Amino acid sequence: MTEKIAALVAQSSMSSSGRVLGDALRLIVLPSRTVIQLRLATHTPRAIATIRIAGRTVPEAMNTWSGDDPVICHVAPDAWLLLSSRHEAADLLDAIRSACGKRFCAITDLSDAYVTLALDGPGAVGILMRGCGLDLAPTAFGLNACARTRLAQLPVIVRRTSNERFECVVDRSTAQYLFDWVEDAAAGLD
Amino acid sequence: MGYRLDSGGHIDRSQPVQVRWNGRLLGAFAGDTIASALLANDVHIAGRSMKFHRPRGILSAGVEEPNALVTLGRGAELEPSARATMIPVREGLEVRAQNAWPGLRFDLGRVFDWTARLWPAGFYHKTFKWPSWHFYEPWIRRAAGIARPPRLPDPARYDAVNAHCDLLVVGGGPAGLQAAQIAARAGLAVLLVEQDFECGGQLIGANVLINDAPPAVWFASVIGELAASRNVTLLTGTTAFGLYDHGTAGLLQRRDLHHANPTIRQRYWRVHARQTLIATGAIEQPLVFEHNDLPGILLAGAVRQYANRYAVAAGRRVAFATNNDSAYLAALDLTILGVQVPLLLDSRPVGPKVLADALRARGVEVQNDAVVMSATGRRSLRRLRIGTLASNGTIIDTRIVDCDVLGMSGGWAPTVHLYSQARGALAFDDARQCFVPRDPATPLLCAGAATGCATLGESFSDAFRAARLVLERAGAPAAELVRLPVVEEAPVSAAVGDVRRTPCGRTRRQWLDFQHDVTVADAELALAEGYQHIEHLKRYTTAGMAVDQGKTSNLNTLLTVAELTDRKPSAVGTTTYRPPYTPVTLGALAARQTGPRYAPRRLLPAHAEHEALGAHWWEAGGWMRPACYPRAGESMHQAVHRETLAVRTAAGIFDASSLGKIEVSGADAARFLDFFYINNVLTLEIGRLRYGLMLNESGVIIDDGTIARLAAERYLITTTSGGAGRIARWLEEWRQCEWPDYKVFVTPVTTQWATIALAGPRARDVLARFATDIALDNEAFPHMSVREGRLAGVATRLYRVSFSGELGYEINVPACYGPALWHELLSAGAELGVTPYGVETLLLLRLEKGFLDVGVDTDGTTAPADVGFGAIAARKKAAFAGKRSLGRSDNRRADRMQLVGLSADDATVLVSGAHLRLPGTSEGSDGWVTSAGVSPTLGRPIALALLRGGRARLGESVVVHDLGRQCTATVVKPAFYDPEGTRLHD
Repeated sequence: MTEKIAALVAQSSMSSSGRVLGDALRLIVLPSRTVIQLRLATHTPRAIATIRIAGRTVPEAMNTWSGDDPVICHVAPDAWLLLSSRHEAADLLDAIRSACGKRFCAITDLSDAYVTLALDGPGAVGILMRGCGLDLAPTAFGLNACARTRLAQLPVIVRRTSNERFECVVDRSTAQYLFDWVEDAAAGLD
Repeated sequence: MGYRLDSGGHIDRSQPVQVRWNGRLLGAFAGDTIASALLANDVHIAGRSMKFHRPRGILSAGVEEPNALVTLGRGAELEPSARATMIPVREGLEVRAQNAWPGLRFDLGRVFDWTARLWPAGFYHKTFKWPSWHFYEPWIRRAAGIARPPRLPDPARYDAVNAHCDLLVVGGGPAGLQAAQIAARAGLAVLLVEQDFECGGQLIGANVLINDAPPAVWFASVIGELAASRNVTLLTGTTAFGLYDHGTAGLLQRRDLHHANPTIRQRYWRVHARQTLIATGAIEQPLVFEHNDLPGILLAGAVRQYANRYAVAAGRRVAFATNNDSAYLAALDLTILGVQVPLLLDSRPVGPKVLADALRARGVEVQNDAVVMSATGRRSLRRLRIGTLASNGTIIDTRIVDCDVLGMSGGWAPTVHLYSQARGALAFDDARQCFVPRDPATPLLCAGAATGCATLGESFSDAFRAARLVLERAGAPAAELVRLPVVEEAPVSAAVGDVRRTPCGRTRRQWLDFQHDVTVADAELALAEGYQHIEHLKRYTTAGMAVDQGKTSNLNTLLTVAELTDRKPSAVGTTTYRPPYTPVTLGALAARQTGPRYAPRRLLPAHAEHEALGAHWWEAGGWMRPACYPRAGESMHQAVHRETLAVRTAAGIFDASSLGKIEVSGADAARFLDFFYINNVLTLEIGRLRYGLMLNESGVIIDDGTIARLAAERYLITTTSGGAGRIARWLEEWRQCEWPDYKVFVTPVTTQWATIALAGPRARDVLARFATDIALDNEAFPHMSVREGRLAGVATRLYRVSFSGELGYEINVPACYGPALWHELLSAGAELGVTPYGVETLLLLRLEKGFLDVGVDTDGTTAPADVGFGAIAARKKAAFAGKRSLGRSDNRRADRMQLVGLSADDATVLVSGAHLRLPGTSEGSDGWVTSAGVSPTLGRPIALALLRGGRARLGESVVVHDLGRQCTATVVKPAFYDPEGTRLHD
């Protein structure tokens, strides 16, 4: 795991410990984590309710997430993204496979395809609304909300983890771009 | 002659400000606009018109201003065509007049006015025929336009932001503020925008009472309440310039109105509103008479606003002419402030008695049935010729009146632009002589003067009606949270008389559109020439097409057209309202999306390693890719030459991570994939891979790559780097729309893997230096195979494939191991001569080999047969995308553009893009070079080209034309190096 972070930090000016941008925002590149995509052909609630991964049921409502590790995000009608810092990809793959049983599904390890940037602080919403069209008011995008959307022209998965903290799962090839974009946006606020 | 009144006004006299007008310092006060400062300093000429360079003065006090367009600042910060009526003064602000040379008072361009008969509407369609339009075009283009854009890059920063609200209120006048207050108290998230730098609309400083106090008290209390509410955002200096589908609105916030250099100059807001209320007010319209464009002739409401809001009297003797009640209020306010008002002309037989009596009591002569016939004055208004309308339509009792300012009013046109943009229907109101929203509740809500309200009391009641609807639709409590303000104001009627154009005088001196110099005569000409439809007439005369978009001319034009053609205004109709309502700075629309943030740049996993090797970068398909790795003192050309030879003689490594990768899995994966390739997928065995060519439904090549079968029901396909996203979406669309019952999933995995290509005769030797459980010998692992295993302890997908024509591998490892793998290959292969090579080298290698580069050697018409894949496509019996289109007769033409190789007959270097001509032809093009280079391996220039009927011309000679140079080349097969492919299979 550590070599992954080292590789990521080496390839960029991104700081793994986070960067303080003004007094209202901290931008953090989260340690690399396991990312598994699960696609299930049968997305009737009943079929989903029977699936338990690491003791947790898969969220049925679209654009919501649940669990703490793994976090399970329901990002498309037939797709879930599992994010974990504690589980190795191989273990999680096995757990999902046995949970899905004979159901028709596709389980793909995408741990290396994504980087997670966290925006933390009262300024987070202000930055996100500069590049993302979602309504991020707590009433519209609450504490269990996640969404596959666009941020700074990039496809991302945005997840609200607290009132003032958001995690953006972004393609690794564009992580540096997003990092720079956030820095620029934060610098230009007044 | 304009001057500052001794007291009053909504300006801060304790804060004197100086602005520079054409180099001259003018005194003003905080709270002034440029226009009020000009008037206070007795400056009447604010600019020159576009076509005739006529001197023009300030017409209005608001957004509709057609004349007083000025240039602000200088150098890179220059802003052309700012409306002087909307820009507040600030210390040192530099303001210059436009479209005048050598100066504003004497402008040589005025010659166009003296020769105006030569330039009627549509003159350039008629006059510039001989020898041709292009002969005159450069000169006319220089003459067109009224301002110059800045020549330097804009140093300012712009910002764009998305916002969501329950209610968007456009307009911070009484109706907008009132509705916003009601909605805010009910808990709705409200966004209120006002284009002026202050809320209040026409009422700032007006002589009315709200709840027994001047309007400023009511405004201050409501604005204070809204500003303090957490659920309200109040933006002044912000224009809603467009309303779009689903409640989307575009706003432009000017943050540079009060500060010279704010961190963010302007902000573009994309607002997503659940409900929108249009409270945009109304715009007063001019009257039409001879020389109605003279400086000193203003809109009556503007004269009133300059006096009340800015304490500026526009002149010493201010006459009024009107066809409605509103000018009486203006005249009354001016007399109260001590300005001399000699006369008010009302074209109607009967005016408002109470107001007329009040004016007469103050010494104003009020004359009914009276019109202005013409205005005279050298550079600004000196006297008016007026007359009385007789019952037979003639004008009698003409006389001359001295005055230096005329306030005119042709009635008020509700600002329905946004409503109409959002497809709200308009209806002509005969009594008010203007277009109003047909239904002020559908599709959008309108309130106040925007629906045609003439008085403050009506506007407040209307705002309550609209606010109640807002709450009802939002499901908010309908309790009466705010009390209707009690208004004390003069009684006026909204009715407008039907005389707006004086029926005498020279029509070619009666202006409809001030900025574009369109006269009644132009409308007459256009009608005579058959342009009856208002949309045609608008374009032929250019009425309403200037920077102001006809805010003071569209209504007059169409009512004049109705009058001239004896039609009802509703039958003439309006032209289409389109965004933007006012000009929007391009910088604001681009916002942060400039320079390095123009488009995302994608980085390879081993980006830093390439950087350390001195890679020369190329941006391709969104990716930053090394083109080659020049060593010290080496040119790019030399580097590519060296890298090419290294791959041919030893081995090279190339970062191919950007290659698109898509996993396709499931029981139906094979038959699903089989549909997208002209090649057969069903017969592909586990562990093998195959080249595949993809067509779109029209049979045109759109992508190529490999298809690998990893397991019985699991395939991995590769695409071009630029095609990865597009192809994945295309497959997904077919899966979801055409075969929802197929058991198949499509998963893009491009960036999960780092892909390093290892190619060259010594490639296997390099690979053998790593610990691996994959058998590498030729028999166990032949060309076009794939194996999964471990390499140096890392899970690896190893391809044996080649795009260079040499023995080649593609090593796929999880992306985080990309840098390490690159590093290890370089050090382990050092003594075997492993050399890193870039895209430029790769393209030269494949050119030598004659491999296709889709999108470079093909275009949007290229079919498989054109590039040598006709037999494969014909052999496939099963259906595939594009198959039917391949049967079209056009695809069987013998003279299609077909891919061939070219060999130069001498040492001339062929260039891609050069055109080809068959011997004996002297016209047109018979094809073009698609890829070209000097082959280091063969030591001569080679090229691929698309040539008309090329496949039948092998051995023939063609002429290559490139920017005036010519050479001849011989058509050869598109394979220059190892055409048998023996090196691939070693």
